[in-house]
Amino acid sequence: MAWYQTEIFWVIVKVAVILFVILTGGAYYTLAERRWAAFFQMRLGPNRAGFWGLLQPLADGIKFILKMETFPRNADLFLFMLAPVISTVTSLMLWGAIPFTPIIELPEAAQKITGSKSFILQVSNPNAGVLYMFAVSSLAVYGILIAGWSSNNKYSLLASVRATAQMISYELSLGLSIIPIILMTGSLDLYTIIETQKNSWFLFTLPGFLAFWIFLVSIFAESNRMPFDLAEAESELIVGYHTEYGGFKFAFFMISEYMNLITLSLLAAILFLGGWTLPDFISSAISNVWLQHAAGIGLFLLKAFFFVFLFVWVRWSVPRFRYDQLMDIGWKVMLPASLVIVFIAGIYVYLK
Amino acid sequence: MNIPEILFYSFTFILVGSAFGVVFHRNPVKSAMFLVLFFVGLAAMYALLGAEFMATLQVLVYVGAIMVLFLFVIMLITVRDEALLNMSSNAGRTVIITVLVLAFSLQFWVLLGGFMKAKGEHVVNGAAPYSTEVMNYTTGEKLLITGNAEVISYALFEKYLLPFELISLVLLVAVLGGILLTKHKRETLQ
Amino acid sequence: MITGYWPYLIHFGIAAAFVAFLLFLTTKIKPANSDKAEKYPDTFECGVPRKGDARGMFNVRFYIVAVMFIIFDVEAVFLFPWAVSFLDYKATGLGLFILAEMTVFLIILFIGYFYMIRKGALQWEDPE
Repeated sequence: MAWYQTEIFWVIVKVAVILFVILTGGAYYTLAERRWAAFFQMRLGPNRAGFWGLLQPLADGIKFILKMETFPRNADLFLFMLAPVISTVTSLMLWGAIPFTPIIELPEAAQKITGSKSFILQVSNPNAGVLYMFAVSSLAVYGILIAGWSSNNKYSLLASVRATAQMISYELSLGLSIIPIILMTGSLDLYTIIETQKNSWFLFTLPGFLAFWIFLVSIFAESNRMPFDLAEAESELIVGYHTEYGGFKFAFFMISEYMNLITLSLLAAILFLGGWTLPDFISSAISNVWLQHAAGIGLFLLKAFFFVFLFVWVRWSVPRFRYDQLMDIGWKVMLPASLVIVFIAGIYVYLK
Repeated sequence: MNIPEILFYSFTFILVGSAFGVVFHRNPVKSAMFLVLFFVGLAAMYALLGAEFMATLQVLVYVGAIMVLFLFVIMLITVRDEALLNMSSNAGRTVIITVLVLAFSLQFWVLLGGFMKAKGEHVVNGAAPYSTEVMNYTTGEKLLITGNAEVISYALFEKYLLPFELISLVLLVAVLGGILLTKHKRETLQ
Repeated sequence: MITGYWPYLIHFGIAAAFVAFLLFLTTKIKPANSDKAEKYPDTFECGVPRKGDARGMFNVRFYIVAVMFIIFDVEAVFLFPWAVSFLDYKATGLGLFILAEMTVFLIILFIGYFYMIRKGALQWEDPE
């Protein structure tokens, strides 16, 4: 077996490809956010660097790298450097279980070269794929907590403690909102969850529909987005837990936030909107297998793009909550509601 | 040495190293971070053993919840840098702790060696009591798996049903205890 | 399709190497006049000179949130194996039994939850 036919080589290739795509996506998400924000406010937004401002993320990246490094005087230097690394690595690990494509049967010629019969753009499909994603996203708390503590700034520390309490509160309802889906699928791996939704999305079942709203609110709070962005409340806390960060260390926080948003959008499209599956009446209308795959993947990206746009849309439409309101929503509305939905889902699955 | 063995020993190295870091580091936040590393390493060890559900829960519960509480408490009790400097790190104590740790681990090694003379062969060869079939989509074959969520649930809801229900009572007591303790604190401290 | 966890080791290696490379790059590339600037400035607290250390006492409510999170997280963890095997149990006719089991489990926890709300453990504004 040649070296390019081994599993390890293909894992490296897949990781490199997805890493490149998601990083570019995260970089362009920053541009899209600024452009869309401008449209919402009847401005033009960044449009100087390249056509439509398309080179803006590149210019930003170069500028971030060229910036001088500064460290706060009484910071803990090692942890100060570690925090952005934790944030970025966890957001880069997060998409490890997401199947970007269905299993594609390769033609003869490609089979001979790659040595395998089929191809799927997914790093690995573990049995506990959903739990893997939750486990990795629960690690993201440390990037924020350590950033605030190590920079020894009162505002940063307050912001990071706030953000951590917020994230763990909404992690509960996020985890519980998945349970109706697992009940209906009987499996934790993401490929099976997608395959089960071939003819009806979970959004169109009763427990799935109820859980979807819990999930949606929880991912907004989990990623510190606008109605819940108490960690970055400029009027109270300067810019939040990354006040002391500059240069590329700041860029790490930014890009990990946007990469998290993209991954959560993909996850929402997978869990509730059927991923890349095509209903039977569409897939029977398309005769060519490759066209079917292209249509499915295109539809998947479109669904994810809807959530990506929703994050920006909500950000510029809804004002920020007060912190006590935020915690009240998390503990007194979302948590009991998601527990009740779990119970409803149990009865629904039992009666069906 | 095959690849699982290499992985096992490298994870062991990480685990032992981070455990020493927890004990010997003078900064409590860094000690807690070493403990986080320890738990992640433990999760990797579980994954290596095929207990994937335990591995994910190890990260989800210990790292995602319990260590966050630890870090909050460390921040809550205000450990100042001066207090850290006054904490002596004299060589004598380090040596004593190291010797104690080594002695205990040697003792454990001897004890466990006696029990594990069969090198776990009966575990490997014996039929797994709980196992489940999982479909591999590319090959279409069904794999027999022990250690995922389904297997755990069979054990939980059939053999250990009463302990499972008791867990809810334990959690209830934990809720009450946590509230009572912090209530007391709030009235006096604030 | 790979179903194991070993690819995540490679995944972690690539991600960590990428981040380390970028951090290394930022330490090497710096503006020409960076020697004149202060490398270790004071922390920025709205332009007001810093007083004391940031790492002070925190409100005990954050601690309560963390404790309650552990308890309900453990509870959620028990729901996962239940949800995975529920369809199997339903197929073997044990569905109602397992559903009742989990209902009892949830009700006992709801008692704790209501106690928590009644005692105002998560009350963020003091009533008085």
